[in-house]
Amino acid sequence: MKRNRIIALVCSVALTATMFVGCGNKTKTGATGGPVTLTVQIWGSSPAETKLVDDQIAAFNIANKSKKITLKKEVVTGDYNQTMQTKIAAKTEPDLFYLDVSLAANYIDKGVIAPLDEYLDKSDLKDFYPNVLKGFQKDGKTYGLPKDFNSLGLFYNKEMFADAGVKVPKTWAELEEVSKKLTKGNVKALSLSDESARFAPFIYQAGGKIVDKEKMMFNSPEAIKGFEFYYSMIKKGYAASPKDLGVEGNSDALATGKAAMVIEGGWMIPFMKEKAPSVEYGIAELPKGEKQGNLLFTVAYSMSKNTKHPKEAAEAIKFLTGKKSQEMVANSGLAIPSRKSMGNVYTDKFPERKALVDGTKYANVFSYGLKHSKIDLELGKAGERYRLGKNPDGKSALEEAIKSVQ
Amino acid sequence: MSIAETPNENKPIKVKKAPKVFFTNKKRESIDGWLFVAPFVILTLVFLIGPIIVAFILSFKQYSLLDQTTILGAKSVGIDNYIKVFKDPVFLQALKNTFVYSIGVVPLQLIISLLLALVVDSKIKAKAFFRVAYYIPTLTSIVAVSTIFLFLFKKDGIFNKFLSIFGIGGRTWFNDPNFALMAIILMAVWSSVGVTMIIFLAGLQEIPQTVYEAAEIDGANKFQRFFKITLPLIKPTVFFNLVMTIIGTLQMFDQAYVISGGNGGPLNSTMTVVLYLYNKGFKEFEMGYASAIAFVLFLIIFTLTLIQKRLFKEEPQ
Repeated sequence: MKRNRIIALVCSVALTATMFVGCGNKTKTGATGGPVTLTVQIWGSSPAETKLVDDQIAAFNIANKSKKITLKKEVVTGDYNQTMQTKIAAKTEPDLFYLDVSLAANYIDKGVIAPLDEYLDKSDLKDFYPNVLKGFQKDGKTYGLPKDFNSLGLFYNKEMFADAGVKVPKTWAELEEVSKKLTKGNVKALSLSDESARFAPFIYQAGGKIVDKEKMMFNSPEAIKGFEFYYSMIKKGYAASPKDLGVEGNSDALATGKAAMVIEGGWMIPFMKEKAPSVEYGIAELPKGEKQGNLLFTVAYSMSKNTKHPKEAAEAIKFLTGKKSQEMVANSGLAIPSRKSMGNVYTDKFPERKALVDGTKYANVFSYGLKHSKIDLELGKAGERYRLGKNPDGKSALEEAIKSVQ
Repeated sequence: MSIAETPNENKPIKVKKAPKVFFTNKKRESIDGWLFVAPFVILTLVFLIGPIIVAFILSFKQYSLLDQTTILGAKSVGIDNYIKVFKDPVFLQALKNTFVYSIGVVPLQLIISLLLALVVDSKIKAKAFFRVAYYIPTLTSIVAVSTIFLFLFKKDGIFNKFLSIFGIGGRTWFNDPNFALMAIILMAVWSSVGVTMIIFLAGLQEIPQTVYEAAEIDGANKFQRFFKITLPLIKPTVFFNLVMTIIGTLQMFDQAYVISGGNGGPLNSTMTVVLYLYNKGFKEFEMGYASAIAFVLFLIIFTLTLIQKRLFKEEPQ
């Protein structure tokens, strides 16, 4: 009997212990003066991107060996935003981490990331593209340094353009003209998805805005004009939503030849190389409406408010977005370096992508303020409703969206 | 307890009083019992009951995970969240979708899995193979299944080609607000039919062959045997499968998340209650409101379960 009881006790303890498997461990960093280990958290991505970050971290560790600062990376698979929130709530968040510009307003507002100004060199800050950096600034303080970015461009099938005898469109009127000629049978001129991340540029090109200091502006006449122009392409039969073309997304439409043009960003480049290496495509700036408009998708390194080593973490952030790291970004071609001084390195190596860099000048970051997620969702639904005819015009679709966000 | 023997006729029996022991046998058994269930109890308390209590507290507060306050210190809003839930048009749409999904999946899944269980239980060859074959879909990741189904159900995909053989026109299943949910129902039934089938199988195998033989002798045919003998005798199994499937389907999230990319489209037709509260909690930073939605769903499921329990107990033996 006694032996059975001992076995039972041991098993109970073992089983109870197994429930602690997988619990995170707090990185123990030494007291001031001792060696410091920093954790930087990133999300999982392609092997090429992972290698780039590894190289940057390795360079940092070599440069800081004498100061005994080591940088270690932590990769989050699955929903990054969800994981970050639970870690912050449990106070186990890393020292520095990726912050997408669409979430920056909320993270800054809640005070979970620290301002970096006391560690930054004001003159060096000027090297970052101002409209990219602005996405991480509030009330004159900087809360993150962008590591790179992507903008949108008009990716077009060169062969289809040659067959139709058309040139790259530079204005809305030209876009419409060209689309008419490129639509043949099942092939449409454009693949247009119901995402605000794709039609917002048209709103900007019409002179409209999405938000202005948390006030919603996407029901202004200009915004409606841009919105309706985007969908007019579908309503006139020159374009279709990707699922209606039988593909998953815009990128697939260009890759499989279902559309002659798509509006996408730099991520198309490795995608096309892998999925459709035989398709010859060009990249052009987005057409001009009243003015030019574009979106910037960017990610910064930000520092946790509760880090025990703010000075070292700031050094890491500065290094990972410094000239040396950005040179690696430029050479990898995976995204556009966020420093102006690196712009030439990128376009020298990839001249065909110049349009993406040129588009930065007049672009806005993809961030609609504190209610970004809700606004983005409702705008997408407005687009869906307008496209399917549930709303007779752009005005009613956007008005409904405004009501839903309130 | 002293053991008193049945006294012999005349002899008074000397009963020995048991020495006072702290760990009596009964107490020892009790302690052993608790030790055995300790891991499960601790796990349940920490990972199930604990979070439920926290979520309940949060449902009366305005809170996001990024707030730097403690759960108790967060701003209290009384029952505002609950009132908001019932006035929320998107929640009501999500509730409707979830019910439609449940009503679509439950009968279909139970009937098909019962038929499969009957087939697998009968005298066919390669029983083991079929048992495994029908069960394997349940082992696959829901995300993987959703991705494959997206591919199969696209406009020029295999499913539409199959339908065209019967002259039925093709559709963009997952992009059509009228059909997206239906396609998800088909997908869900395919991937979960194995689970309920196994349970039905267990129920069927408990019915003794003698009952069937007796019925055969009395002249009952196949249909009579099924409806008069099989069905009544597997009632507990049916009850179990019904309750579990309803509970499961009312909480559907994964398929809707993958198919719609998280936005519950097209036109909110694939928005389920859990997907809605997930978006509210994590994307819109309204964890308090999300908790309230979760509890409203809990109450609905709990009520339904009680109703089912009542209905099944009403039948007299």
